[in-house]
Amino acid sequence: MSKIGLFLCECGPNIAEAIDLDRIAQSIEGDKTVAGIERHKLLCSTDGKKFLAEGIERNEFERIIIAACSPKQHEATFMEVMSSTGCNPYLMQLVNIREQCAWVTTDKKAATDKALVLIRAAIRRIKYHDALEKKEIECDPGVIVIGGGIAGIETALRTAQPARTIYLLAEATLGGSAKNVRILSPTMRSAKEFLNEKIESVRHNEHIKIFENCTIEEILGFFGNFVAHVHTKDNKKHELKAGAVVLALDAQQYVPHGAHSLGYGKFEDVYTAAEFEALPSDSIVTKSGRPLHSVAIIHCVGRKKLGYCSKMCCVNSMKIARDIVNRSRETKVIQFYKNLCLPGTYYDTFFKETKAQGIEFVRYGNIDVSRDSEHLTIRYKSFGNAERTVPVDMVILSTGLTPSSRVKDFAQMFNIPVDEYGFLKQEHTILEPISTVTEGVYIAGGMHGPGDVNDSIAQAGAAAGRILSSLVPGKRLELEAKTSNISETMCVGCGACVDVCAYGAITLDEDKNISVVNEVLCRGCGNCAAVCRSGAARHRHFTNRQISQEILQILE
Amino acid sequence: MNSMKGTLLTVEAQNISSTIKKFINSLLERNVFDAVLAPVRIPSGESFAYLLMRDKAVLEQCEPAPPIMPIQGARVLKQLTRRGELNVKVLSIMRPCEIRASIELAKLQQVHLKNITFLSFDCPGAFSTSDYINEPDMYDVSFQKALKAFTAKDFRACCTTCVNFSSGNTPTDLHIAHLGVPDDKLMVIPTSSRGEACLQAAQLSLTEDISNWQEQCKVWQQRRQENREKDFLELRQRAAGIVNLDAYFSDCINCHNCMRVCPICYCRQCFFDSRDTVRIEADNYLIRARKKGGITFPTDTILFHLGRMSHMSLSCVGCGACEDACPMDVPVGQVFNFIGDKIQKMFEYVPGRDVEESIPVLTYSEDELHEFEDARDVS
Repeated sequence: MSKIGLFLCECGPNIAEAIDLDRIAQSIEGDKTVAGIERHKLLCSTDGKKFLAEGIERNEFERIIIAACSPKQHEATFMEVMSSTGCNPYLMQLVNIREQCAWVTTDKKAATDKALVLIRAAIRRIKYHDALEKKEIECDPGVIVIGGGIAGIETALRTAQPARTIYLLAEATLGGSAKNVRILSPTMRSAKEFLNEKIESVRHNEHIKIFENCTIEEILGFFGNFVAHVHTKDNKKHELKAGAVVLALDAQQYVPHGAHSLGYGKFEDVYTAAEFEALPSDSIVTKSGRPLHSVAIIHCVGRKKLGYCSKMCCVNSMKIARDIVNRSRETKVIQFYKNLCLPGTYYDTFFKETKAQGIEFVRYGNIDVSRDSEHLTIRYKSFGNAERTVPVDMVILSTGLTPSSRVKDFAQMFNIPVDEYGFLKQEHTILEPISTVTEGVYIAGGMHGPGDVNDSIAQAGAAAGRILSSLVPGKRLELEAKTSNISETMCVGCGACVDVCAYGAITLDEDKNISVVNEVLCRGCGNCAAVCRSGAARHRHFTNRQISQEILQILE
Repeated sequence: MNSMKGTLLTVEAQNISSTIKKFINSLLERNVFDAVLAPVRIPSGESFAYLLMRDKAVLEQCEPAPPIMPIQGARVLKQLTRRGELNVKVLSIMRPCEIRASIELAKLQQVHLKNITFLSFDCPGAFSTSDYINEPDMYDVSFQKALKAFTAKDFRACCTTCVNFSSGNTPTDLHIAHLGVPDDKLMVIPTSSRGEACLQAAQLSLTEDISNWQEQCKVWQQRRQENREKDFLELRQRAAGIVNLDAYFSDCINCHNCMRVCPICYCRQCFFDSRDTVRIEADNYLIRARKKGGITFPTDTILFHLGRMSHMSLSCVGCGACEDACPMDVPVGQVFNFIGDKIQKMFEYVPGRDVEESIPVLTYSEDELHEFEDARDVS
């Protein structure tokens, strides 16, 4: 039997004050299965890690139990120390006596009793741990970037480096929706210049291969080894290999339709914000060529239908207003808004500057647009006030962003769930905002929700960071060892595990009539082991025996 | 299927069985099917087995509505189609509970339904197999009467509480109705477009009104529902709590027959027959014996039943095959039926109702089962 060691961490005062560690040490001392007990003030500190490593080596422990904090916090830390001493890091069990005892059980005696039970359960469990070995596979460090907009271009630029080929796939020409943007907010810099610079650098980068006007037929494979089949306009088929995929398609402008579309598609001189920006830059006139005396920008168009705030349109409207005034001093611009969304530190200033330029802000409750031969008329009602009318020469509808029509295709291709609005779901809204449930597939730009150019660039950088740190040229990819395993003899091929696997890691082998786990995709969530009635699916680090022994000890 | 109509068959010499056979024969003659899967009487005359027939002469031996259910038809279909879809058209004659179990197995890839057409009948119930083999002649007579009267003194308990005895919650293709139909007639009702196509091929015109049959089905459903509630109430008192449950299963000899005949138990090897449970060192038993004061052998009887219940009760069609197979007459089917009813209602799930309806254990819904969020409130 291998030597089992127990380490007690005081976690500063966190554990030491709430739990009687002396009593725990005394109680465990009589247990013959434990070869030694060590105690430290803060095991996760540099000094603590050294203490842990030396303790393991001096006592020749092969399996250890650490009674400390949540595995979420320091399991990886302690596993690393374990490896550094030459031990298998999976022969360790971290008992959470901080969050589960010290912090929640106020009575010191009760907390100590509880900690003791949990530690004993871990001692019983660790005997049944398997020395799991991490497997490695060959991988391609290249990246497939889908989307020729700002997010896609930026991702390509940030990941391109020697020994790493980036395939930038655009279903149109490079530039995406930014092609129609004149000015960037809040800098009021020319968007064209900015975009052209980016496109130039992407075109001149020897590590980036650009495919414009292409059709992405399918992308197969998994993290480390994806294969894309792409069709170009010249009728050529390309097979592209890469280790990661970044989905970076732009979101689309919402186009008003239906009953309350404020004259859009019906009257002359009613544009969406995107359409207005795409107009030739010298045309600060009405369609019939009259100069613009007054322009109304109506905010939150389609907000109700979409069901969410697109967060970029308020600022975008102000930017357009300022651009109009900058180009044509005589034009009066009125912003009809409902609720202003001014996120961050710079947009409040931006708003104040906009107001200082003489742009009027009017809050509306109801609003409608009509037209006679001469003018457009805005008829609105503010909160609590009577109805008013304002004649204007042009109406610009500030609309939000909707998911690209291609989202569902890629969602299906990569097994990524879609939210109620049709955007891709992030792996976790807070903890993993640019990852998807499919390992190696990241999202940047407008695929998972509305955002502005700054957001796209930040997300592109984040996705690039993840790829650069996980796919290193010349290095093999280390796989998760705590995966699921399906016994060929026990499996009856009912497919229940296939249904519940969130990562698309299980497939049915039609010949053998059994389920097969792809260990590259498996993240070890254990859903399959839980749903398998035949006992064929098994989690390597949460085996029935490990769990039942742990529970049996707790019940003793 | 909005304006369902049926077609009438005339029963000659009060022989329901031969009337159904004649109808099947007419379908075979027109090559609507390549083969028929139906129960036949075994040579001893004391029981029935399923026979896959391609020869019309053999069809004569078949008994479309046998008085007992010694083999659950879903298990037969599983063996027939486990490795893939059939490439010949087969007419499968079964009780509604057998069809529902087949549908459940299809959801679990254990049965492949392609090219299978189901033919069901208004099932009054079945006798216990062990009763039947002692006096087959007497029970044959009772069953013929029961087909019309729809009740018999000795029907199995699971049958007398069954509300899905007709085509209502069963996705059959052709249904033979005798409830609400004159004594000398049977009515064939197509219950799917496939069934309709069969009757068209057989050139049978659908003109008969089915409202009488529907009315009678409702009446019997009501009666069965009353039986059900009464039985469940008694069961609750008999089996609730670990002490009562222990007593309920105390006759169990751990033969695991109930698991072997259950159409839903589809594991290749049951955990309770596996080395995890059969190869336990004596020391381990001694520890358990010390703690409890003693340990009964064979061990884990209740655990076996509870384990099986947790695995299959969502899909339990209440066919009672388990109870029929029990050599000790443990009312195992009734308690599974009772628990199945409760858990299925929790998810508004009817096993075998629709092949497209996913088994709740395989679906995730964020908004459900709030009543269990605070376990203390569960009484």
